[in-house]
Amino acid sequence: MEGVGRAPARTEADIRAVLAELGRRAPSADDVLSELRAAGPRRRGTSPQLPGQLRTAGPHRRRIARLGWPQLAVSAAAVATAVALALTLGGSPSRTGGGPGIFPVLPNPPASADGPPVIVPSGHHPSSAELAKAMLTAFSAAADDLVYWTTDDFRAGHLIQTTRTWSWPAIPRPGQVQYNRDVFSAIPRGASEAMGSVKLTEDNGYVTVTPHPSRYGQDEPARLTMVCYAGTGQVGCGGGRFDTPAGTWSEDTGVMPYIDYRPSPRGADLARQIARGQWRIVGHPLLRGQRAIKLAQTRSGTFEGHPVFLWVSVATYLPLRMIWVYGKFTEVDNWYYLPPSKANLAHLRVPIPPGYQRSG
Amino acid sequence: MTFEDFAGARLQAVLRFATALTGDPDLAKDVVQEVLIRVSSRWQEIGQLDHPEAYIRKMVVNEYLSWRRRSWRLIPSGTSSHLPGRPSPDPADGYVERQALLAELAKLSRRQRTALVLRYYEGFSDAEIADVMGCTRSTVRGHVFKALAALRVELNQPLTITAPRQETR
Repeated sequence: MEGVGRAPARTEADIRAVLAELGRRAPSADDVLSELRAAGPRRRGTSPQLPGQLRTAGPHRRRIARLGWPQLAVSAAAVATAVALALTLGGSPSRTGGGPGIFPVLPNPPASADGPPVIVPSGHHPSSAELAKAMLTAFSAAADDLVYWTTDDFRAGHLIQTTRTWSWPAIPRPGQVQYNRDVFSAIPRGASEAMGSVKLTEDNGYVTVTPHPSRYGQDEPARLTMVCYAGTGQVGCGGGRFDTPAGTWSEDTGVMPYIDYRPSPRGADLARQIARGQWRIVGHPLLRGQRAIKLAQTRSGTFEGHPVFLWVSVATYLPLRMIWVYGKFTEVDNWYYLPPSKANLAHLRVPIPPGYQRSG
Repeated sequence: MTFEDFAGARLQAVLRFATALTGDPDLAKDVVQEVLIRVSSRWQEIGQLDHPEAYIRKMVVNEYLSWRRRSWRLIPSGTSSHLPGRPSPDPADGYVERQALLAELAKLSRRQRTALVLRYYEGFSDAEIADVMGCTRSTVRGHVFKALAALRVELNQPLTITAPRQETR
């Protein structure tokens, strides 16, 4: 449904003016050059394609479809679920009119959540069209599940950052309260990527009311809890209203820009891509103890020929894993659609580390 | 033209672009330095291009898009610390609005922000942006559309694309 968002209030000239102002804050070229001369011949990253060269995979290709998601989770973002601290966790979130006031105590979970029905008979290898159809049905059936989603990023085989995300319900409906948590770990600042290991950096919870789809940015009542971990070299998390110094936690409740926490790519988008031939079935391996359909993205797909693989469960027709390879970068995503049991929903809580003081 | 000649003549412009792109002078400095290290080692090739600066800006974009996620998390909170000394002398409302817009720009995805900067700071066409970002023109328009929608910017002329699809619920 379009047109529900608020009327635009800014013009393109405002954007130009703000960007020009930013440009005027640039550091001095002399400083950059002098530091560069002192830095020595370090090398990192890749260069774009020179005329006449074949394009090589590079870091700029990584996380193509994912960039917006976690960034939002941080910048404004990572809002939180302190809510959850006070909640009695359980079953489906109730629908609300979207007004403030709003974060209800969660009802008890349903008696069972056995997952969506199997659409294709066991032992049958579905075609891409059958698979896409089965996946769409499966996503609908899993709408009220808790989706747990992990992302691990590797550079040259070394794990450099991880994100763990819980989001419930998996497909929130407009007006429905949604609960999210995002835990981010990275190699501490200054540590070698090759030698260092990732360390817990930030833990955010975000509870909000799901808006109707709109072409405009939307504000919704929300509650953001942010724990910014110390000891990773960072000085703070978030910014502005959500500024949280390292070693503290904060909570902000009010009307905030809506952040879409759902995993990307969207399940329904994946199914449509499969139906359109942007993926081809390349195998039927076992993964995480279950039979799976392995797909490889074709050159017509979103990622323009870079190796991307997807595993879909034969039992549930929900995605299990996706691996993206961009040169020396690899991202591994795993999805888990979980019944909204009390134990599973407990993961939506953001634990406050002992000794951490509230800073906002 | 030597690398030093190029840097002396054009580096400040590249830095301004990088600052608009990243929204943070310190990050811009880091990104440009990383790029310049590679540029200097390949100057024999890059210096022969018709437009080495365009190529270098492309490298800056790539570096920014690939910059480790923690890098922007580690930006000290409160970009106002980078303001030159004091608040703008403009009326308070204008200042507050610009700060709000800057904050909202920082919330965009990197690719959305990159498309926006190339369009409104560099004045690039969709085709030029697509070339720099290594994607299609329709993807560029999608990024710009979403970014402007998130910022609630009213377009002078509507973008000729279909609105990004939301997941069917």
